[in-house]
Amino acid sequence: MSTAQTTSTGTFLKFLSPWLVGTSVLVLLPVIASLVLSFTSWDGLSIHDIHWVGSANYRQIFEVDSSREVGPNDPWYWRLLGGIPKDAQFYKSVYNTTIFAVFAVPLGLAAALGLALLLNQPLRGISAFRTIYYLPYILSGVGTILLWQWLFNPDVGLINLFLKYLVTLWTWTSGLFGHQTSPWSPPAWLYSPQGCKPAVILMNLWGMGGAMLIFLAALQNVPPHLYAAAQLDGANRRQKFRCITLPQISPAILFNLIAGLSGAVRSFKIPYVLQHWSQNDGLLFYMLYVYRSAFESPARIGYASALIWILFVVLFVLTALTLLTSRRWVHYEVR
Amino acid sequence: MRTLLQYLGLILVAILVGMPVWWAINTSLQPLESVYSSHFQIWPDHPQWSNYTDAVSRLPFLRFLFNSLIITTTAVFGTVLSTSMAGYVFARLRWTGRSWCFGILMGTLLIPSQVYLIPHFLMFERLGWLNTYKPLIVPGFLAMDVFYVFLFRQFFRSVPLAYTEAALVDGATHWTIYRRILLPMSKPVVITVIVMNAVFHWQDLMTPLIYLNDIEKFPLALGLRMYQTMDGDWVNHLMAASLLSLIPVTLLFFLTQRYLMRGLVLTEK
Amino acid sequence: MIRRPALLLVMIFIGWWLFADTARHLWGPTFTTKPELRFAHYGSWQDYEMWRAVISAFERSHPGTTIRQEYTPGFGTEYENKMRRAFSAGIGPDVLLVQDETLPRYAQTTLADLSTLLSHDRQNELRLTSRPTAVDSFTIGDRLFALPVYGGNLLIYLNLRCLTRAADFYHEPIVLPSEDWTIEEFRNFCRKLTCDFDHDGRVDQFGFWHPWWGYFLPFVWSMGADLLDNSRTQWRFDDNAAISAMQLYHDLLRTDRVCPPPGALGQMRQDIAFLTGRTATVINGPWFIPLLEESDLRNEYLVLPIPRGPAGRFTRVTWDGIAMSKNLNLNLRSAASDFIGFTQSKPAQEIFAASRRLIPSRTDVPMFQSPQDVRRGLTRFITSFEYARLQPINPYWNEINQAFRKYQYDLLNDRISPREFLNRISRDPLIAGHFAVGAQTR
Repeated sequence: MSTAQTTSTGTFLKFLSPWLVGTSVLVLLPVIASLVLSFTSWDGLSIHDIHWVGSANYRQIFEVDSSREVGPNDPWYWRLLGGIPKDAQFYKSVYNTTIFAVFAVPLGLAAALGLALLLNQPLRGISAFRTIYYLPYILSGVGTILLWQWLFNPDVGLINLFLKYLVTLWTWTSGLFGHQTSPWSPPAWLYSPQGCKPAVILMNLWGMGGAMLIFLAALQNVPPHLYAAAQLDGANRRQKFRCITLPQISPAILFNLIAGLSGAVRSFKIPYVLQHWSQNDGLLFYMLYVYRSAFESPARIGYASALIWILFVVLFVLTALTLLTSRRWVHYEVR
Repeated sequence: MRTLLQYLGLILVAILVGMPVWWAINTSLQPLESVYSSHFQIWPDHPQWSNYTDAVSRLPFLRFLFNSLIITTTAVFGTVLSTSMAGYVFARLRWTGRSWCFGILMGTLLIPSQVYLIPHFLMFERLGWLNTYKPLIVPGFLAMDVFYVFLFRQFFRSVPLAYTEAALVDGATHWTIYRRILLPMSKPVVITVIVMNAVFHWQDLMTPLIYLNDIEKFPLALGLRMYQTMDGDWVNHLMAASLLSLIPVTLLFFLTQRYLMRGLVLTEK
Repeated sequence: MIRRPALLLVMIFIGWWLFADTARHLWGPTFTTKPELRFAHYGSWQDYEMWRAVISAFERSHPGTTIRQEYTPGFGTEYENKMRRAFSAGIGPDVLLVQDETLPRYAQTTLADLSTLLSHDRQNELRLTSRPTAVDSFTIGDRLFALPVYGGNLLIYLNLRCLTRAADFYHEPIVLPSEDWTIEEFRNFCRKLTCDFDHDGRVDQFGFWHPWWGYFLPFVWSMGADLLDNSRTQWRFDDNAAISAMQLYHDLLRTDRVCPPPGALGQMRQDIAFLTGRTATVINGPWFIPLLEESDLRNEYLVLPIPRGPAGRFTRVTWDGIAMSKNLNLNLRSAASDFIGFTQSKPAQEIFAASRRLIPSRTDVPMFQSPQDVRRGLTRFITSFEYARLQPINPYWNEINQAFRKYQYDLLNDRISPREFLNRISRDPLIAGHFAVGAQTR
């Protein structure tokens, strides 16, 4: 481990002043302002209309009307709350975001690691492949939404077209053996409340270029002599992966886990551009709900600030828990 | 045999990953009425190359390109300078409150950017910075992308202290050590930060949308939105222009990617 | 080592770059002899070029004034957010384009009441020269927040290729509807256009599509229903007429099966669905024309009138208007009035008409008059103003929209009846929180 050089207290100011100014003015100030605003009601139009409301925003967010019975058609998680929540959209957005994070993060990590392993081979032309694999990340700008509209289009989209071929093949083969199969109705993906989450998880998977790069860098930095030594001991490929590769890249896994988790919880771009297609608020994610509360009419900046602070606390706890458990499985080189 | 299999795997995944890109190219070459048609075509029968000339000539495309270049280069320069300096302080100087500051630094990674929307707008308005490039560029100079600070810190920490101690004894300042010894050594990190930050600024839509009013100042990401309307998109033009606009960043990535592998190291060695 | 003077120079330069604008912003001259007017608008590249033409025409005829065109590309939503942010920071534009739907939310606090600036005679004259509903769409109470510049109404587009295909498929000719057709005839017509070419149980060509409930309003009105009463404070969408309107909304999809169910066309947009022949007809406004004319469908589409229902025949109009900020100094105010006046003049309105996708608010500006336009039925966009109607603006348009979106999925999937749909909507805080609900006024 390296240690830092001692220095006079003034020297570092010269180096750190950009960050100090930036963080205090552009980060801490807004964050503190949002904390203060979370105890007020404000429509964002006139500074004079800010009113102190105490903890009313927070109480309103969590309030549950337990006098009314939860019906059979209501969301199942209302039963856990023991009544009908006052802000049903809040719970809906928490539910949606949780489902998304639970599936998207592990799948994303696995996909990124898989791609990185694939690209970590000394082959000719590998750099061209790396560029192709990274392209989605670069492309995730203007036209992406149109692109996904087409891919997930139930009717002419490539995904359903592919599924259709599979189904036709299946019907044909089972027809050979005299089985009758019922007609297949293609999934409506983004347009249906059931299909939109898998679709969004897939979309998220496609933008894994950043995590892939970090894994790739970690893989490239595994000392080759470790593998050579294992080779001498007669280890097979699986053993090498489990006993050398995984421990060696575990810090990268930890980093991607935290980044992926906080990214999933805060994901905004995809639900924002897709909001007009989603049915039944199926893609109402947490940050989208915050954004709508703050900017769409009726604009409630105070309420949105309270939502943001709830998110902060959750994110902080999640990260702290991940870091605490990481001591068990993250391997640090000791020199 | 194994190499063949490896290539097969690589190509298969490349097809899967590159499918949307292929679609974008395909769409950019089609007349409007064939876009989204259910006839599956690997390549359009009659590629309509005029889409590209139309897409570029209907908008001041070159002007947008120039603006994007200006914004991206300046912002990236500022980011590299400020984050490497901050990284140096966190890695190689000892001072009271360092771990607290580092905690704050890593904590800012968790803050959703929507929090800043209104406060930053009000601040920049007070400064008279609306409709200028400053709101797009200055945050870069203030080390707002803390992930890069973290990258620099990790890299600088991996350089043995003995390396610079001799220079200090000889009377060199920290600036000299940073500028003449450590920064040249950290070329992979510098390039990594350049590439990642350039991609970000190149496709950033929200910031220019909020702060810019004059079409002469629009970068590409914002300017290309001129092809989107309420009741129909000029999809083929949009795709053609988008693809053209992505060439610079793709090239940048292709040319520098061997450095990225060494620049993105998170562990201390 | 860095040379000190060089460093100093760099610092001075950076300081100047950072704060020169700030100084100008804080202590700059408060008035100029030659006023520069800030005009904000939104839209696609076509809108940008159209407004640039209007502005340069204005500057030629008013040499004393320059106009700065502040343009937000894309849809109206982000533009509206941007305007609200700008006005709340006190830096809104002097003159701006507004949509009637979203106007009321910020009109009261930010926009000037133009009725105080216009003489009574001028106002009357304006009503006479403008198309029906145009001036009303920006009137709240006795105040006028914008002057209409252009608008659009909804009619039915028919893809003639689909017509031929359907006639071949069913082996019977399909007669084009008369000018004054009824909803029954319309439903029959759509049924004939709906085909399952490959007999796989899934419809390949739909008869009709209204992409969102707002485009369905003409049918709602023709059934005799309405969302609000004249005072715009009483929720009225709960009577029998409303039930039959929502029944029609449901039946087009479930009983007649002429409209695509949610998911069948999915996120395909109506422009594409129509261009590719997935739907034979769509309801849309004149802004659809440029896209059609750029495709190879340009000679194979028709524009049909809206059918007549029990309560009559209506088309929905929406207007874009030009408004003035409340807090202008005298100098700017007269320049702004000049510019707003200019957008009402014939030369400017002719530029709007030349776009071939926006109907100018003036009645005396010719549009869609070539023989070809007559053949395609585009003239109907002008003549249908006889039965044009407005959804009167109110501050809660967005809430109404949310409420419809919230429950329509259940309605269209047969989970709730039309009556239950109306009950749920009027009970929802989105509606009940802003409007008087119940039958006390009738």
